[in-house]
Amino acid sequence: MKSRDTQKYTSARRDFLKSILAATAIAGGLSAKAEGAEAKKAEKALPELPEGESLLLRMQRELRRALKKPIEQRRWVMVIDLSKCIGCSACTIACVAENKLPPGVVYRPVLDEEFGEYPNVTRRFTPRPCMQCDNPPCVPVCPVKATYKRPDGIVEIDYNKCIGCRYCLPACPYGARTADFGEFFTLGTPKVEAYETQPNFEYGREWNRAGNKSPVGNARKCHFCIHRLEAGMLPACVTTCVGYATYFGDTNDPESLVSELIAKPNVMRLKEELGTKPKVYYRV
Amino acid sequence: MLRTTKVLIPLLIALVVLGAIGAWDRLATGKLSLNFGSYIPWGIWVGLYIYLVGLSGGAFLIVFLHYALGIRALRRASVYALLVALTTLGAGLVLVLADLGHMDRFWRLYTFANPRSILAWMVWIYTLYALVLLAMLYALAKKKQRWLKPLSVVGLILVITFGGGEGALFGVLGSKAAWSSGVQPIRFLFSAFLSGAGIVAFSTVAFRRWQADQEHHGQVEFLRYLVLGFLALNLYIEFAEFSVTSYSSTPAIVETYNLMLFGSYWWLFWLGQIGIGLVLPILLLVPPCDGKPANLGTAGLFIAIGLAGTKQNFVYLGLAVPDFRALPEAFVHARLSVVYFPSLTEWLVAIGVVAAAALVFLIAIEKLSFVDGRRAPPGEASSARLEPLREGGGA
Repeated sequence: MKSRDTQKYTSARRDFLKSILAATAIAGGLSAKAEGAEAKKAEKALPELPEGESLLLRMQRELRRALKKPIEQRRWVMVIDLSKCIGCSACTIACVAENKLPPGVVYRPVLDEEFGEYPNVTRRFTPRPCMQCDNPPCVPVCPVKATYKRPDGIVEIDYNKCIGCRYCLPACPYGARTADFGEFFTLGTPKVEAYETQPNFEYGREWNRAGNKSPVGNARKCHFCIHRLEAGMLPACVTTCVGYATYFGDTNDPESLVSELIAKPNVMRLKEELGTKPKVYYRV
Repeated sequence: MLRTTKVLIPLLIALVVLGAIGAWDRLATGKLSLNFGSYIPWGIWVGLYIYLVGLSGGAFLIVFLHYALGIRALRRASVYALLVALTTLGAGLVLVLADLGHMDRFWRLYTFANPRSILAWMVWIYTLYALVLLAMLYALAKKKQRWLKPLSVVGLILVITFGGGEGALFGVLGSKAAWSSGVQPIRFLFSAFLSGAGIVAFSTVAFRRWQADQEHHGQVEFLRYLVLGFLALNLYIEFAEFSVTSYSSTPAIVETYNLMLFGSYWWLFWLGQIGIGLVLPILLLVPPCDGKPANLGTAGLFIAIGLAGTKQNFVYLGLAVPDFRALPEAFVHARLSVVYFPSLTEWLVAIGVVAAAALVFLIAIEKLSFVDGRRAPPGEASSARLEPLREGGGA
């Protein structure tokens, strides 16, 4: 009888503890959700990272560390090492493939400039993504608030709000915005190929280019591959760079690679005198 | 019906039909058949839009001078000016609507307007201005004379706001060296006044429905002085802008001016802006027009054409210098070029819309009962010497 009572008591205590644990877990879960639901979601979906000390793996780990923080505590920065860039345009093509960019739309062209006179001639390659300015001139000019700065500093375009006036295009001092005129590479051939009508996932949403549906008719630009970042992956241009010339990370993390790089004196930003405060740095 | 109108109406209808073909192409193929791209994101339609809307504001000045300031010499011209203001505003707004990537979302300009964007403000001001114009038209039709003075005052305030605002639309773009200047609002406003006065002068001479009486000659002389005054003012403002900026050491500005003077559109500047828009009108207007109203009409038309070219040059050349020299070659595509010439669709739509505006104007002056087709009462006629210029109360 005693043993039965003890058993009953033990069982009741176990149930009580279980309910306490469950309640704590739920409360904890809710609290975490309130602090950074996106971060949890991203963390949950992330695959294991291999061991290793390569720069890409380091940036990948830093990215995941950043994703654990609330979005407003992240500060994404890109650093491009001009001395390492060989002008292969792999980043441009990776970007085109990742975002399924149509003809005439480019997010990351590589400027190719030649200096000097023979025999002292040199070339400089300058990849030019969107600068994700802290003071973006493209944002205030938009008449319908379709472009804005996210809490993590990335300048976003809401394709469903954009009316296609293109006022933001000349407002950008870096020529970083292009307009989607609804072109296809295989337009004018017997059939627009299926690979061109595959959806892209910019800004974490599915976009099907067909007819006049957005993003056709919209302004478009580099967004640091937000959809990849939120899935724990580096931007396509970073992972594709053959010479490790492009670095990416959270500058709010003092131990991140980009924080180390931009603290050195050999970095500059394009058209800094305009006061736009670009978040793309160039190592020279 | 006037003989000129009889000849023009079939021609204008033919042009509107051509425009309809262009509009159909625009709607059917989206933006594929348009020649502008990402580095030259605005083409002939935007150039025409800023010109036509400015012209509307300029024409409204004549309305204001008569109804608010009581300048009786402009009694007949003011009605024409109101019709010009309405039709050109409509044409300008249709063109800018056609230019939108998502025409179906234009309503967002009203429901989700960004108060920091000049463009959003402009749309609201255009709307108010259109309402003022329609209210004035209604007041004229219903003979509600008391409405006209306050409406013309409100209208002029709106004209000054959007006339300057158009310049600010470009002037605030610090990234474009050729545009970024505090003088743009003034430049746009006074070129609007000039084009408006010019087109009203032309229309009152070419489509005159009244006798060539004393009042008509008074009007011709007044408009001659007005146009000459605005020509001089524009010459001064343009000289200020050209001289200061062309001496600038900013390479992008110098390059823009070099393109304007010697680039592929040199003819638009030298023949259009300078020749047709400036020199010929001055030659025609400096000698007194008394007895030769045709000179005023021709000069007005030339000014209107010249300033249309000026606005095209302004829009295109401001964009023609890339943000980085190597940018157009960094990723090669026709949409990523700094060379632009309008496509057939762009031409057809532009011509069709302008023709439609002209057609509406011509029909309006034939059909609307308040358009003066009679000799003015002798007591109201003003003399060729423009005395008295002012009489309180307007029409």
